[in-house]
Amino acid sequence: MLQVENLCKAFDTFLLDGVSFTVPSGAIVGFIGQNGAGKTTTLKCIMRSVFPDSGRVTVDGKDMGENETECKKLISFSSGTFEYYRNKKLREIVAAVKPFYDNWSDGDFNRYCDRFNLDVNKRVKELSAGMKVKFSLALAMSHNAKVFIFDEPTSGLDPIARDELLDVFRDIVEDGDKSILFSTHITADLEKCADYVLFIKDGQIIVDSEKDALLDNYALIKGGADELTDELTRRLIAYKQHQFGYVALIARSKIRSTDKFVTEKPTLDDIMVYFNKRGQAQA
Amino acid sequence: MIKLLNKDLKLNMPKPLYLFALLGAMIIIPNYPYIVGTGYTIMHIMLYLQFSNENRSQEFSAMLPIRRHDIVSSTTAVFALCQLMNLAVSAACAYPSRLINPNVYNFVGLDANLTFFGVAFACLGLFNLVVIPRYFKTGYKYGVTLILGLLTFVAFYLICELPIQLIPTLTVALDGYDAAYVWARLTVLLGGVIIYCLATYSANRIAIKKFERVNL
Repeated sequence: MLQVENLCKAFDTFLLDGVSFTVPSGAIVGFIGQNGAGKTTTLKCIMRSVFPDSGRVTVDGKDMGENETECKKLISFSSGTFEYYRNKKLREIVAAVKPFYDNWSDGDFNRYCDRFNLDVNKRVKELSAGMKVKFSLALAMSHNAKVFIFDEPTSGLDPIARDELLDVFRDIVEDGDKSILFSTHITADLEKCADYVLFIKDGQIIVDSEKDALLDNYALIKGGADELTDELTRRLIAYKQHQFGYVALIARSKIRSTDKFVTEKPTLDDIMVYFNKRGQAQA
Repeated sequence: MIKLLNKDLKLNMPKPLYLFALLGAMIIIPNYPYIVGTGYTIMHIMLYLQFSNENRSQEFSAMLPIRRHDIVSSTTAVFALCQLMNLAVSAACAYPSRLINPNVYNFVGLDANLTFFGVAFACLGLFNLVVIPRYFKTGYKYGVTLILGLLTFVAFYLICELPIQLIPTLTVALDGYDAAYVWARLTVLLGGVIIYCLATYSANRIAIKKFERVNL
């Protein structure tokens, strides 16, 4: 559905370096990475609000560079919170935006407003941070797009609203012909609803995997300080030492029957932290 | 582009700003430098750009299904709209100005005649040529740009006005309302309109090229 190939963008102090990935139909792809890793730059390059130096983005088989208008009709982009037109009422913004979309649905918009308790007679500046996110999402979800791109949509939402939003995400992809790419810092959100996980570090994708496979393919191991041998450290993704021993992440394929450490199933947080510690690694 | 212009006017141009167009009516003030009324379009445009920046309008527009150059063309259209509304009000007030002004002739500048409108068009066209491409180098910085535009506007007006006031032949032909020289004043008006159209069109083309690779 959405294909990104070798996207590069050089800034004075940052390089987005050959980012490639695919967002299949019917899938929710979580995009994680620490602050400044390149998540927002990647999403902005996809939307061409940041112009990539090279690379190709295709939406439903159409090249974004050659068919920008057509492709953007298929994409619904929400940059997290809504910090535009602060003094305007929501209904004024909707009235100005909906003529751009052939498939705009007032019914869908009103339904999301009801679901999110949005009052369209309020001005943007009167909304809380969470309500701004919800308005941004209601706008994004009301024109029957095929690909939904959300930049940190759950930031600023309370746990109940986050859970509700993740339910909305699952509803969107339920029919199998829509897909979602969303960036987040909150890996718990990914564990609840993502099918695939992308992990970006220093402008490079270092993990691109199905979420369940990712969690199954790695193990968190623990052992005493004297068990952390040079031979073991070479097999680890990364490790942390503490007073009584070490904790490390290892690919399950590198675990030997003779190993004596304790293994646990890692969380996405663990995987993100240890991959981040190591840097470049194969997923 | 029309949808985007509509959106930009609805969301970035508060209705009171349209009152700036009425300042074109300053042409009815006796013995007044009428170009000042035209110059208020610059303040109108400055406030529009300020609202546009505060609203992060271009960043928002870039997410809509439009081509990037539509953002430039829409802004150019807003410039032209502000300017043409002001000049239309001035034109509507030009005849009453003649009736109201007891001396008929303006002692402190061009009379409210075709020459004045030709020069005003040319000044605004050059203003656009300076401001629009420079503004779209970044898409948000407009302070120095507008000062340069204002200096261009004033400088070109003086370049046009001084010879007309200082050379008697030009004064007779281009200032005042002598019917025998209406063709001369009409020529200046047509020249001004042509300069305005060409300069604004060129400004839009140059700005589109500059803005194509600006990161928002």
